Amino acid sequence: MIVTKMALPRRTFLRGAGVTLALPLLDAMVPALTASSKTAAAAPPRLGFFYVPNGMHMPLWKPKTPGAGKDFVLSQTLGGLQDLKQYVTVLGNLNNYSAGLGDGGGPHTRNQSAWLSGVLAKSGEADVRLATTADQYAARGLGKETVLESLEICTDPSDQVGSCDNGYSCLYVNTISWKSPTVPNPMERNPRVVFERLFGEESDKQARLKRMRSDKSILDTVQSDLSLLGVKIGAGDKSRVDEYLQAIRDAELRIQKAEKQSQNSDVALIERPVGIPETFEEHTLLMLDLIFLAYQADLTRVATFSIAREQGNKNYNNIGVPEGHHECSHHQNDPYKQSQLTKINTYHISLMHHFYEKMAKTQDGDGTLLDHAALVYGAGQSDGDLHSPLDLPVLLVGKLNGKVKGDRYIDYDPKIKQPMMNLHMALLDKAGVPMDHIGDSTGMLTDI
Amino acid sequence: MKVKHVLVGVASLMALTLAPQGVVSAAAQQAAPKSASATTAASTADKRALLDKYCVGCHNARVQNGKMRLDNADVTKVGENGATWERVVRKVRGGVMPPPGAPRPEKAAYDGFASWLETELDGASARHPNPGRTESLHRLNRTEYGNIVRDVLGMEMDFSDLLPIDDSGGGQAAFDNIATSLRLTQTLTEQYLSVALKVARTAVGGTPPPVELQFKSPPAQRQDVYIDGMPFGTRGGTRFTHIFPVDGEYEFEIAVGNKGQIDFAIDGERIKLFDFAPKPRGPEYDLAGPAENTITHKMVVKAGPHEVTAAYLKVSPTLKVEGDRTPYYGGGGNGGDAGFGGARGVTSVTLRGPAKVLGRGDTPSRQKVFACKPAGAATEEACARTVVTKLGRRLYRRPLTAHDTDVLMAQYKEGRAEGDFESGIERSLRAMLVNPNFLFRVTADPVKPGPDGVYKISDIDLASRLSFFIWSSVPDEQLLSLAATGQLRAPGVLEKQVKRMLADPRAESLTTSFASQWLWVRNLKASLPSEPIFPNFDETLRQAFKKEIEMFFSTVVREDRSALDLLDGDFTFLNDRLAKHYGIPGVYGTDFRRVQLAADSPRRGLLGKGLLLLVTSRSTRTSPVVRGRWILENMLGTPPPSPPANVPPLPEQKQADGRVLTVRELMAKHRANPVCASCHSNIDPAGFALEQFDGIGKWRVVDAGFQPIDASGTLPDGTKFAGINDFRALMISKKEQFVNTMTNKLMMYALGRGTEFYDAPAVRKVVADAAASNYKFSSIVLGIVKSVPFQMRKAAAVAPATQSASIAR
Repeated sequence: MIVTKMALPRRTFLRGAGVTLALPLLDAMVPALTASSKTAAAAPPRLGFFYVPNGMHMPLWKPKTPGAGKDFVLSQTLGGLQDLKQYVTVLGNLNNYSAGLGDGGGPHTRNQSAWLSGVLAKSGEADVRLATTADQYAARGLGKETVLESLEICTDPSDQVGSCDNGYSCLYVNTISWKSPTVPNPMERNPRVVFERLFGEESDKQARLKRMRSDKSILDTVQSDLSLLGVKIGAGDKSRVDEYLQAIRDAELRIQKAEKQSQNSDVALIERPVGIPETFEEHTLLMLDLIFLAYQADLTRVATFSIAREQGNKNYNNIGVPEGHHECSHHQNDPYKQSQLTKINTYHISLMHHFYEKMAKTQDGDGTLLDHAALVYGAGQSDGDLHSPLDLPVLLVGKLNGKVKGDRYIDYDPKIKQPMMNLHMALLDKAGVPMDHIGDSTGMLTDI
Repeated sequence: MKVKHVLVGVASLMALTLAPQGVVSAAAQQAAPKSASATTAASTADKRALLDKYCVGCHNARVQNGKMRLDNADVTKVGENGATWERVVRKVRGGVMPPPGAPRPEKAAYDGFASWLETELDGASARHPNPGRTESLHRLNRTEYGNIVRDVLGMEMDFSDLLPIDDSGGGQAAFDNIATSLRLTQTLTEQYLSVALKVARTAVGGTPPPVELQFKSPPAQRQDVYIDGMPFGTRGGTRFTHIFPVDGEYEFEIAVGNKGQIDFAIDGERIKLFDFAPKPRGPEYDLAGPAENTITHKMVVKAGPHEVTAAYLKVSPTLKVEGDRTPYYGGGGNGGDAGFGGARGVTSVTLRGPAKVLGRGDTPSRQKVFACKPAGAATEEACARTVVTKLGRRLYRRPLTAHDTDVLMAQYKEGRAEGDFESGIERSLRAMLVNPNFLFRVTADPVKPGPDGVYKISDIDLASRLSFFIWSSVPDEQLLSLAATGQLRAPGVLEKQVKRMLADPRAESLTTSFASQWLWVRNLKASLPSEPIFPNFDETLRQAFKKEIEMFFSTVVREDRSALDLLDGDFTFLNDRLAKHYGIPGVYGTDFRRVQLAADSPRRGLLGKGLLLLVTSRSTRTSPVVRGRWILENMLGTPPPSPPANVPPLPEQKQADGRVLTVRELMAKHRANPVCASCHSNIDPAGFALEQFDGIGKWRVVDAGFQPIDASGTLPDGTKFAGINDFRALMISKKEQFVNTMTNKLMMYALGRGTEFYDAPAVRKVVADAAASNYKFSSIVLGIVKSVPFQMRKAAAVAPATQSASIAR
């Protein structure tokens, strides 16, 4: 039996009116998509959260000494970002105390789920509870004008059973984004589906608008029938019904926004990806392209990408790492495993570099996309062997409309116990979404 | 107090026997005498003494190991504290308490204590059944959605790219149909909308926007040998099945490699034989590798599902003999070009279209959807009503109400106004596929639930429970009619239906959904044996493992064999490759066939299956811990607790003298730490029993460091064993425990919720009743179907005022 699998020929990713377009040309046609970013006086902020699992090999991740400009020398792992150094901020000694170091089994689960929430995941399958994550707070504030409030993307499938162990629900590792303390945001792994969420299935405007009208009409019936069911099943499950009604209303709102957006744009040029690429590299780069596209066309201002899931044990044969990632992270101070882990860490950065570079080269209002973005990259633990959520590896790229200085390494004093959430607090504030607190935040970083 | 209890007991008994066809009342009747017998301190003095002597030392106010106190647990009121006592039963039946090394009562007293507890708990449960409560809105999962589209609309569509993977319930309820984990979000609502559009359009034969789809042969697929199912006389190739939406013109682009003749066929019939010669290569050849070449072919294809194949004709001298090695890249998909030993083949086919639409065609789905064809404009609406009512009944799994029909007909009219009769039907079907009455299995509490807030679910709801349990799909018309006419619970009907359903091909979902999750088959993709250590592993072997265990389990279901075959079945399914891996002679060819296993074969039952041994190993070595955990959790029902925080790293594997520690020695060092030992002395031994299977399930007598394997061990209850066959015999001696564990898992899957302490009596009853047939698989399924949790439901907690009213009664 042949197992056939749909995959994307990258060269034909975007094909316009019978002409195959190579990717760089994309930039030329995207401005036709949207009115807002090319005319607006102040370009909107873009926030991004990029997660990698299993920690980092910290000695080669951290720059040698804190400093800015000339005094800021990139570490070995981050060396590939040299050409974008002016956009790079490295932060040391940010901590996630709420990840419950010392709380028993399941550290991967807790570390990953605390990364954007700053709270401790609740154990036990019946009662799944986390907190609204930083990206979703940002989405609430920045998503009002865009087709999608936010984009949640991953590359790993999550159909494992049995391994969501130690009493933690699989939900905690299947996503890093939570719309509310009880509603995890599913992460989409198929580029084609992401693409259709962004641009719709149809290539011509009339067909698109027609479909949206019928979708709205159908959603109306869904909403009223669900309300009726709510009455029928009674008070016991009312909160669940309310939750679902909200989901449907949100979907309806989004269609309205997309309708508006469709009316003054023309997406006829764009053709969709055909499926999930075969290699991790192609898959990740394509997902990054889609995020880039969504930022550029201002279809969303917030993206969250789980590049791989926590405890993932992928091997990276293409860069000479036949061992599993998770295995390497449990290096037990074996220099070989540490060097393999570093290869993986460096490789991930090289993939991100493609994306950062594209952002830096793309005009957006009065500057480039990277000028207007703040992209957080990191892991939920530092040393994977110890599963430590302290002194996390944190990379921030972009200047967020000049509100982030860039080109520096700040290493906080461990004694002041700076929570990771203080970074999210600061970024949201700078993006115009001030918060009272996020998770266990104690304030906000003031020196970035 | 006591008097009141008895009264309520009698009242509930009456209520239940008054209900028609007392499937449940049997349990209540059985319980009646027990409710009268008084449990007193005097009659339980020996129980108290046993607890004080053997248990209280670690489970008291001060120590409270496992957060459990037994010093103050009242043995005269066992039924009132089911949560605690069911835990005790599990630990004692599992033989894991008192811990290894601590004194235990003699066997008769030990077993007697467990039996006594069970009797007390079962009695209490019969007096006050608590059937538990699956959420009122139970969303379909992706598998069920796909099965329904298959069963109702006659289309095999792949939803893995269209809908997200469903989260499995956590903990022991690790199934993807657990109601609490199946939520509806904004994103999912949008996905349902978009999928409904595709499904309805394809079913009706609507025209989609032209698409481009690429179908690839997997990178690990050899291109120089014949592939099962391809046209004879070909090698390698690419094959896919696709539902062509309309009669129309499509374009195929075939990616080819070497010079040769390529057979292009649809549904096994050759469309064209292409002669292909690669273009002359440029000077960049050495750097870029062979130039990629394609053949493009345009043709008209009829609507409906078609299988497309493209492969090279085999030319013998250039090809190697069929062997059993295929390239393997750690399964990570990170490998480069597979190379195929110089024989490049058809590695992908890209489909584009439809370019020209010639008509809706005549497809199996159109035959299913259109129960009638309107003769003219005047009859359109009546026909639409027929079509919509028929589809709605299957999709909503109940007769439609007038409101349902109104809503769907309104959608029909909107669609009709935008096009023709068929676009009206398409729109109505689209609306059904997003409607909450389709997406959720809805169970509503009755206005007046019975005593203890417990009630029987309706026949219509029962029909759905049955079909989702056994088929992972909607009820068929037979089941639905029985339910709609109130006959489903008539004597003998459930028995007949369960038998019929198990014999139906749809029951394969018990293997592909239930067993594949219970037995961790779905973890196979995540198992990535390290290539340098296991050079013999490849994709072919991985697929063979899966096929074997699935065929094995589904045979137990289909032939209605004893569940004990899962422990000790004397047969399995092998092909050449797998038989060689197992060291079993006399199996030739790629087809899997049934093979009888010798009485001393280590491959008997689940424990000898390659898949299980692989998914419980690390990528470089075996893991007695994971294997032990698998056995405790999935066969014995005594899952170990979570490891504590800050586990120190395992000691170095290398000794000062350079000798590598065996896995067993490593574990011993680990257990030297008392904190670790408290659990690992339970977990590790079961894993040791499988040590003679290496990390990919191959039989071995020495480990990677050429040190002899020691597969002996001692269970927590002191029983010793020496190797797999010994251990399997031990497991057979614990057969009730195994069947109980499997039944419990099956119960979770059937109910769509994790089981709780109050479900344990029902599980025990299923097991006890199934013993008469030596645990035939159907007897376990039927037992679950007739059980209290399956037949009944507990109403949502009532307001305090109502509650006191019911006590006063």
